[in-house]
Amino acid sequence: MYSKVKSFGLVGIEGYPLDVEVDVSNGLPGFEIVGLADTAIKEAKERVKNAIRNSALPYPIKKISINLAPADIKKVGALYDLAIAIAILSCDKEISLNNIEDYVFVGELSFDGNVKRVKGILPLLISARQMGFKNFIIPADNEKEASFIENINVYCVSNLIQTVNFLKGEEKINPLETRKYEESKNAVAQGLDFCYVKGQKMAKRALEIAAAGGHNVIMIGPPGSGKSMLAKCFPSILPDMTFEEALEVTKIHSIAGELDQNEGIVSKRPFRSPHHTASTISLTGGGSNSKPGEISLADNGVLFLDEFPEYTRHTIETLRQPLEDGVITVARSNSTITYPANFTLIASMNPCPCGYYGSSDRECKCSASQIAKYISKLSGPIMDRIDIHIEVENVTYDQLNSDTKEELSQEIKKRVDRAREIQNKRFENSKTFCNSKMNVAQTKKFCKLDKQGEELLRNAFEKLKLSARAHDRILKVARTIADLDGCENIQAKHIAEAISYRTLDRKYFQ
Amino acid sequence: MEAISKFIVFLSQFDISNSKYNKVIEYVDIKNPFKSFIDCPGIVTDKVLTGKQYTAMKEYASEENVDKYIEEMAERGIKVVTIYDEEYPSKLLNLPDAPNILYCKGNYDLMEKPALAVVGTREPSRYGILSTEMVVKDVAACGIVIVSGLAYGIDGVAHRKCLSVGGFTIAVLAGGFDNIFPSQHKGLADEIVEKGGLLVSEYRPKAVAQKYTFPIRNRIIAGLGDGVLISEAGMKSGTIYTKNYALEYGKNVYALPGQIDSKKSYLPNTIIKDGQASLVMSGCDILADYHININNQNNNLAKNSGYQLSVEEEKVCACLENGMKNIDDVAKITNLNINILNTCLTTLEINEIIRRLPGGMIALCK
Repeated sequence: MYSKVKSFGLVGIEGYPLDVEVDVSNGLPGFEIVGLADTAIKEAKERVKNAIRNSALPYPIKKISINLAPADIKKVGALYDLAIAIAILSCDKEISLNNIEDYVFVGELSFDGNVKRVKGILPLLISARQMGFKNFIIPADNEKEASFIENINVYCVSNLIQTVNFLKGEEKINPLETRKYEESKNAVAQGLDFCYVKGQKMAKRALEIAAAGGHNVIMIGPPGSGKSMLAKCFPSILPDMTFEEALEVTKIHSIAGELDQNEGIVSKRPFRSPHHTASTISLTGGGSNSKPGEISLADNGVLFLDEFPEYTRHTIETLRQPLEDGVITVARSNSTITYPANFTLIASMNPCPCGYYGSSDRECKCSASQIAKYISKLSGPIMDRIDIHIEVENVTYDQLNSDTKEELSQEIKKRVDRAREIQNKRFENSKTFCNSKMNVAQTKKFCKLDKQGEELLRNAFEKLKLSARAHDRILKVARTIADLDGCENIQAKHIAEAISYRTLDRKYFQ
Repeated sequence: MEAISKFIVFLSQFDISNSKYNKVIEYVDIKNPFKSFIDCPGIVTDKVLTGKQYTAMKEYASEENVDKYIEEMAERGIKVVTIYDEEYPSKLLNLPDAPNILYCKGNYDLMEKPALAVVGTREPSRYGILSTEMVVKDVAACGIVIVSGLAYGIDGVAHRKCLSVGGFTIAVLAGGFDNIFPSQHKGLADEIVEKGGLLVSEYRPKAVAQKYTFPIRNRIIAGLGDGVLISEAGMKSGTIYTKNYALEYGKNVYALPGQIDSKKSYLPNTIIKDGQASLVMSGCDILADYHININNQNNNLAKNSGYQLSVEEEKVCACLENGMKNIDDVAKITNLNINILNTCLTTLEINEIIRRLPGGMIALCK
């Protein structure tokens, strides 16, 4: 007896259709899976057998051969259990399952016959819809995640019996109702609120500019100066994600198995802060399954790297491509996968190994060469991609206890939103979407300086000894400052302010 | 160049210490040093040189080789002067342990000009940087040559500030010109030569600075300066050597006072207390000894640069009058919006009215 059932597999965030073929024949009882399956799939044998038996369904004591086609793609994960079980059952003439070829089956089975949640439902459904598939049977646990996709029929099942009854036509399951993204959006502000950060005006302003223009930031300051706190507040002033952005983020989180099943969609901008001992692979993605890494999980959000120079040099340098292109291509012998990695980098560091160089409270114990060595861990190419450098100083006790009202994140966010709107208009027909990502031609076109600004910039370069690479960075930041100001042209004052966010270009760190 | 001069140049190629030059010369005939050196096994038996050294040196000992070497140096813009030459700087000639040879690159005449040596720690505090700059600026602007050692910290500050006001500076190295130490100061060394300054070393260009060469070269720094300014320096600082040399040579020693609890001001404070140094509060205190008078009351900043301050900028300057402040404090006191404040700070900085320091501090340039 032969039977075929449709399922779906994933390579990176792209899905591909997959046939589960089953042949049940006379012979020595056995269970064989072919088609480049990994261990999790090989072990489906026990899960499928026990699930069928414990659901009081007939399990054929025969030779069972299973083929996962196409046979040349490596299959990973336990999401084919349901399809295999249905295919085996459909070989039995007494259980007459109708129209199984109309459905795509995805789900993991447990011994008691329950259908369990699988990773990557969202990207899978999106790809399948594009390929013209209409009907899906998925685990009930994945319901929330699947409910954002329109124009398809999704049937959620919680156990094998229910699935069989549904296919027999004995039980009715309503297709999943689609939800609107807006409903799920969390009204509560994201992250910490800037109103809890006392003082630090300079840093707050710099982060506001960074949020408005998508600029990468590095904060330099002694331990305990509030760098991490500032970074954690940063997502709260970022503009809300659009549905497309949210879908993209959700896809990646879904594959990585990091999706909150109660939400079903990632509506907050992600904030990832991997520890500095993190391996390069965990950051960039890869491994035998080519999983997305931290930088992809931070897509459309914030990647916060605390103690930046403590990361290995190799790890820091791998950020170059994603910082430039917004994607990371992970090449492994069996596959080459491109994940999106469009994040804002917020890095923080101490000014020297002991942490107190330049601090007013404590004396620094480091030698000049130690400081130079510490700073030199940040290579030129990486610094080229960081637009804003600021120093963060310790806050005094008086400042901590002062009653001055600090601005709410919401208010800052309003200004950011306005600046982003201007940028959206500016970059309407191009791939660029914010000032920091402008290419050379765009920088030339949109960052024209008047005579005064030109002179100021030239003076600044001569007097402050800025390095050459600062030039375009300053222009881009000045563009964002002008946008925040609502000015069409960059004025001298915008340039002047932009220059003040280039701490590391100053020679006093040498 | 005389034969004995050439012989010293010859010796300098073998990295022997300054005192050994004198010992070797005792064994040779001044008129015909090379020949007598080759036939002088006594140098080895008396343990002035090791057998190995002597054999290696003998092989190379000829006037022609030295001529070629000197020519090579000249092509690279390096002037070689020995203590037997007339051009040898008069300030060093009478030192008890005067260097037998000097390699010089740049404006050679600077060594005869009135000069101030500026020395101090490699890790100065903000106060140390600011006050050193303040003094150097005034002194250098009056045409006094600034002598220092091209090290990190105070040395670098002194050289840079001197260059920035258009002054002339001499850097005395502890190694050869090919191995500038610290290597991060290569650019600074080039700038010094380019801007009419001078690099001096008693070691051949290929020599590498050793731990012990640093305190030794300090005698040249002390010798070239008519006065020595001790900026910040700790208890175990190498600056102590320079101070001792300066006192030994009878130079004027000046010290920048610091807070009594500051470890970095230990040396200057102590020598002021002991009466070894005179206390310096501004460049004028030093310039008086050089018979130069300048008007002390020249603190009006706007007048200095000819730059017209805006209302906001004046506020910022006013709030910094009593010393440097953190940017957040400035924002609070002046009550300016941070974006306006940042704009002001940059323009003020470009016009050299204020300066930024590590740790987000802002200070008036004085």
